[in-house]
Formats: sequence, structure tokens, C-alpha cells
Amino acid sequence: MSGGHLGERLTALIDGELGHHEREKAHRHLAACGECRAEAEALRGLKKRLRSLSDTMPSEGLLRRLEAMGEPGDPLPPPVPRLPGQARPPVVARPGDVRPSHTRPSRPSDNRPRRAAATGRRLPRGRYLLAGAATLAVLGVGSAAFAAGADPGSLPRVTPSVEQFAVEHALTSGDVPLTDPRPEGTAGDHP
Amino acid sequence: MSHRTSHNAWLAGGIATALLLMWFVTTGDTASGARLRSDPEALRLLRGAEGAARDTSYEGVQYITSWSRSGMSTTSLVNVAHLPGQGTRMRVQSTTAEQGGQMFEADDSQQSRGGLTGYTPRMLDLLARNYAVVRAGDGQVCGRPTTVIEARRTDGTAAGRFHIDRATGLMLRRELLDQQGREVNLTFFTEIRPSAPKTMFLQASTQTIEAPWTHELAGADLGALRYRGWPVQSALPGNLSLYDARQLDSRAPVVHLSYSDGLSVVSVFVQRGMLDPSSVGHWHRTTRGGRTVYLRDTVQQRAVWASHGYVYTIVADAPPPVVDRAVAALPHGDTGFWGRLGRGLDRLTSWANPFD
Repeated sequence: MSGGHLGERLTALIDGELGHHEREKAHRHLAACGECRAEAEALRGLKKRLRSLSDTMPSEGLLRRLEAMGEPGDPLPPPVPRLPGQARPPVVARPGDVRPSHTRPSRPSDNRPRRAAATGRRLPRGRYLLAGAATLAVLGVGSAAFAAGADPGSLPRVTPSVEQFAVEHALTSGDVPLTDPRPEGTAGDHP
Repeated sequence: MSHRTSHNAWLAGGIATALLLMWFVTTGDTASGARLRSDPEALRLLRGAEGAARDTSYEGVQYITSWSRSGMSTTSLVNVAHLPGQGTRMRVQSTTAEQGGQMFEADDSQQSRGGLTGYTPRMLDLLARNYAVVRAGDGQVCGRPTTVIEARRTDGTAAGRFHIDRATGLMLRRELLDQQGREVNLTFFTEIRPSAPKTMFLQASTQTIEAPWTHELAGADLGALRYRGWPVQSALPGNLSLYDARQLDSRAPVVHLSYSDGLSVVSVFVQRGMLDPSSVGHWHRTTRGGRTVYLRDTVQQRAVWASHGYVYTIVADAPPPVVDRAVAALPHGDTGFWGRLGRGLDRLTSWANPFD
């Protein structure tokens, strides 16, 4: 469209998106420009047809085929090797790609998308399952830890070789190695 | 309004930084402060005492006594004779000891020195890190003039006092003092002759003291022990640092962990197993942290207890409060629900570890 015609502003006018001043200017132009007027008519007609289309429900068969597309299909065919310079082969629909219609239930009458409705029901259950699993895991690990934390009963009985340790202590600290003497004396018994 | 908020934020940040700095200065590294206050000449004299004890011939009698937490004293008299290049012969007299005995320690087997044999660089470093080491006047021991050196706490009180012979450089007296200035451990010569020993110096006639356990444990070994669940602590309360670790290799290995602050020495021996109570039947039985601890105050402080499959034996030359804090800091086991749960989690983790 040339710069003298309405161009993009024509679409905005049809959609009612122009401001008051712009709309007045557009109407003045339409009154004077037959080309733009014809285009405006065409646009209005198209919009009317589109609006009428939205009121029509798609056919049952189309809906079933669309739903079936979400299900896992057969394995993909092996890739066909291409010769050098050969163009990509066209995608050919295989028989049996679409499952029989009787395998799927009909679309819900509330007209909501199936996935959203299913997710709304499944999410809380998943959370409960997760919480339950976590609780079970904590209880299981806790019980195992409590059982494993018991004092071992099969360890050897030890008699510390204190006199040997006293000598080892003296050797590493540099003191005189002394055996265990008998304590005597009282407080303040300083030399 | 936003300017005021920003100003307040900066002010709060500044105050917090200042408080943090004050905290670091006052509590963060008091040891370095003590190190700065040490007298280099005092440190040199202490270091020289080790060389003098190794290079000087002498013969004398050492008086070793310590006071327990109940105020009881335990004393040993030891005849000591040293010949450079050969070793030291010690004969413990039966003063308060039930029996005397002779021992011989070869010079080359004496890997660590302490007591009246002076300070190794490692022990001197610990001493200077935890105390201010200064000269504190002149003294006299056995009629011999000495230089008195004190190791002072940060509050200025003396924790240790040493007399260094001016003529030979030997350490003639060593005192450990508690916070109130009372002696808790005392070693000094009652007689000393800095000359070749008059008595016959026969190694064969005496019981030879073996060297310390030869299997020394390095940092990686200690890490491996910790990984396997052995309770190896790198420090104990009272600025006691782990300065030596060894292992006695046998069917039931014993790990010896030596801690010191430069004055007190605390040895912790750890064994795997359960304590046979009959082996400490004549010890004083008490309770610490819900567990039974057996104590014995001799010239050394001794304590034995068991916890979670390990038996602990402490042998220490240290004031009783220092030993008590060390005992309290080592595992005693929580016998309650959470203690058992935590212990079990530790075990499960170690079992699940493929590298264990």
C-alpha cells in the first residue's frame, strides 16, 4: 500500500483500535478514497466470516484425530539414506498412524482442554505421594540409624597398659619416666 | 528519605565492622600478642638449656612432686647422671614410690626433650605462642646462681617458672603454677655436680628405655583415622595443640596423641574396645558427662574411660583443671536418643562409603 492510503491504520480502524482523532482522519480519507474504501469492505467481510467460524464446533472425527496425535505411536521408520545431491524425501502419512476412534473417550462437555483438567486432578495426589515417600524415607533412615547407633557388644575387652603409656608419655614429653608411686602427703606439703 | 536510609545503613555497617575488629583484637589472636611480648633472650636461654642438658656431664638428684585436685602431693626422688654421647641413667628412689628402679636412656634415643632437659624448638614455639616468656630476675638453686624466666599468661600471672644455671646453662628448677600462683608441678635438683659421673656408668646393668613408638602418624594418617571413626582431635581446651602422634602397631593398635601448650603436656591413648573395669578397680571412680571416668593422681594425672567402642587413657603433666577440661572435651558419649541416632548416622555413612 502506498504512503497516501491508510495502510496499517485501516486494519486498526476495522479492529476499533484507533483513537478518536485518528478515527476521524481515517473516515475522512475513506470518504475520498475508493481504493481504501473497497479494502475496508473486504476486511470487514473477512472479520465477519472469522467471527462466524468461532461459533462452529469442529467435527467429532477431527477432534478424535487431534487427540490421538498426543498418544505414543508406532516406532519411527528407519531413516532412508539419501544419495549425494538428493533432496529430502517427502513425509508420507503411514496407514495406522491414527488410532481407532473407539479407543479414546469423547471430549469432556465442559470444553476445557483435557490435559489441563487432568493436571488439576493429578498434582495434589503427586504431592501427597512425594510427602509420603519422604516421610517413609526419614522414618526408615532414622530407624536404621537408631538401630546402628547401639553400643557394640562384640568389641574386645581392653586393659590399658597404663605403666607402658606413662613411659611413652615421658619419652615424648621429655620427662623422667616414672612408675605409679603411692601418693602421700597433704596440701601445702611443699619442699 | 532514601538518603537517610542509606546513611543509617552505612552507620550500622561501620559500627558492625568496628565491633568485629574489636572482637578480633581482644579475643581473636591473643597468642600472637603473647609472642610479641616475649623476651628473645629468655627464649634463647630456654633453647640453650636443651643443648646444655645434652652436652654437659652432670650427676645429681631430682625432686619431682605434683599436687592433686584434692591437695595431696606425690613425690619421687630420682638420681640422675648424664654422660654426653652415651645417655642418661635414672635411678628412682623409693620415697613415695612403692618400688625403686633403674633406667637408662641413650642420648640418641631421646627424640623429645622437656622437663629439666630444656625445650625443643617445637615446644618452645608452643610456649611462645601461648605465653609471654620473660626474664624475671635472679635466683639460686643448690647454691648456684640462676637466671629466672617466667612464662606469663595474658593476665600477667605466671604459669611457669624456670631457673637456668648461669655457669652451665642447665635448667635446675621448673615450676608449673595454677591461676592462684600455687605450685601444681615442681621439678628441681636438690644436688647437682656438673662433672663426669663418679659412679660406674654401665648401660647393661640397667633397664634400657626404648625409644618412643616408632610409627609416627602424619597428617594424612590422622585424616585416615578420623575417616574410620577414630576420635582424633587437633586441639584440646586450654590452647593444647596436637604436637605429636604415634601408633603402637599390634593386634590391637594404640594411638598416642600428645597435646601441649608449651608448659603442660597431655597424652591421650586411644584403643578400640571396651574397658575391663577390673583393670581400674583401685582407681577413683567418678562421673563425667553421664559416663564413668576413673581417675588417679600420681606424679602424673591419669584418667581412663570408655566411650562408643573406644577406651581412652590420659597421662598428663598438667594442673588438674587443665586435665579436667581435656577429659571433658573428649568423647564421652551421649546415651540419650539423639546421641544414639547421631552415632548411628555416622556409622551408616561410613558403611555406605565405597572408599572406606
